[in-house]
Amino acid sequence: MAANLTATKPAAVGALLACTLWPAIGFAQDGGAPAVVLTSQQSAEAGSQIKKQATDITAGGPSSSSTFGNLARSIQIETDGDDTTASISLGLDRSHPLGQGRRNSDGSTRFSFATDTLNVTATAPLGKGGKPSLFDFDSLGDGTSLAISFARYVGSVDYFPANDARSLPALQSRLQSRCIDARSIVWVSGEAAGDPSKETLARLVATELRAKIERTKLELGHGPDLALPKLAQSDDPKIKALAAYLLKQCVEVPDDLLPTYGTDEEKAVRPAGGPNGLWFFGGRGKLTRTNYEYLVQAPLAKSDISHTGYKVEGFFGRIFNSGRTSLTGSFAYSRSYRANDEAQLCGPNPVPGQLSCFTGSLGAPVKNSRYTLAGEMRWLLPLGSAEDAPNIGLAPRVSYEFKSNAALFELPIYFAPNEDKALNGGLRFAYDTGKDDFAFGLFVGVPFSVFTN
Amino acid sequence: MSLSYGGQIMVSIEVKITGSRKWLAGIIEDHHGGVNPLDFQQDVARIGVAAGGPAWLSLYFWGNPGDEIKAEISKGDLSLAKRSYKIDPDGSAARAIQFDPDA
Repeated sequence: MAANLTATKPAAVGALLACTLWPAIGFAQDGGAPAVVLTSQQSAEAGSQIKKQATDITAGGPSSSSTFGNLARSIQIETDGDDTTASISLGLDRSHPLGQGRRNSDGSTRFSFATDTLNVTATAPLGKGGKPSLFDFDSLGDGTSLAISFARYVGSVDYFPANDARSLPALQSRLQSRCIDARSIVWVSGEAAGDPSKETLARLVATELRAKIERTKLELGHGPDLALPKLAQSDDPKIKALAAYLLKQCVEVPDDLLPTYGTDEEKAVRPAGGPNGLWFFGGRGKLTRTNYEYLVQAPLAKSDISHTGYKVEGFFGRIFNSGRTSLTGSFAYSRSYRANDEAQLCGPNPVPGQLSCFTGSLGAPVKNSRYTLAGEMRWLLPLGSAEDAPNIGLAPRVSYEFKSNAALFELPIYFAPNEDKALNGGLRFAYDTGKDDFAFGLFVGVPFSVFTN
Repeated sequence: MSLSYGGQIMVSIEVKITGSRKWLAGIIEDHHGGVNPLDFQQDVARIGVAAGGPAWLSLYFWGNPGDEIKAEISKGDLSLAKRSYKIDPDGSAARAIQFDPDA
């Protein structure tokens, strides 16, 4: 079990859960009052602090369900205006084979692997004040909460042995070899600097190094991974310099080997039996204790009561082999309490001729059970055919609640990248058939991901 | 640390993967062609590898594009290999490392 402890300054303003990100900038149509009323200063602070908090939120869509248990593993104290929230999150993960490998007819062995993650998060508000969401479809409130989530991702690998040309080790050796040839020419050119005699010497060094690599391979079975580190310790300064250069270019930075040195055929197939998509399933549960203040009429007074709400949810889905699309289905049951509409009540005051007035929810909160079936797609869409073309992310989600016969349609569109060029902001549209209400708002700080949380 | 298994000298190694990913698979192949999948618990897998020749570690990931991952193979306190990777734009990555368990 690992518990990474980090703490943000209490002065840091930000949203801890994705649901609190939504209302940062947003308004509702339908002629109603704004869903969130923030002063311009609060809006500016929220915007900057939400960006700051982006790294504390595990990737996921900003839909109503993704506000569930998606915290990083940490201890945090965060504030948002007058509100302060503290959270503790612990996680377990394990990546392991499922059963024995199965021999395929092409000579490879299929191994299935699962990565399991279990997260437990406790959150408590340290300040006072409530804040409405754009749509609070879960209606769980924002009191002290305990959330637990489990997810399993399953994929398989067709493993070819290293002496097979189709294997990942063989592919990597070929790519490294091509890299060494290409980079040696660059090195020779740099060493020569237009001087033919220096070029001849540099070519000899490159040829000698190549011969040493080949000899090591024949004698010991060592590829560039093992040969170059040893040659980089050579007594010959030229061999040492070239080996160190090639080690850095062709072994220690291996991410661009396939794009740069792979053939079209090698690039076209997922590398050497790698996984073709993933299946996933899991569950989430959340328990929330919330204090509700409300008005009673006879006698006119303010009162309060605490209720425990909870939600349990199961989900399953598929990440397709492009790595850019996923589909998720889920079913959730929740029991929550909803505060009544606000009203102002006035009654006689002990001082003759004066009235005492109170503003608040009229009557005790009402218990509400919900059965929600939902489907969600996440799709990373390139805007152009070039490899470095920008992307937009779409995460349409449809939720249907059986008891109230209401549906919620949500469409977050991600188009704003962060400093690392990852999409983490955009526009979100939502329509609630139960309220016959349409809303849209801007969001920032919720990274796009095809993975569920 | 070395031990004998079925007449072979085995070397105990540790593979540590850190960084953000959603799915991870690791397979080690020794110089005899023995293939073993790895069981990572909280980022670390420990396994015995046949001594006497180089071995391959193949790693497969799924995660968010651009996320950084570090891999290290060690034998006791001795680091045998260290690599840094980034998840490819399609959300997956497959990388291999050759290492010498006799180092």
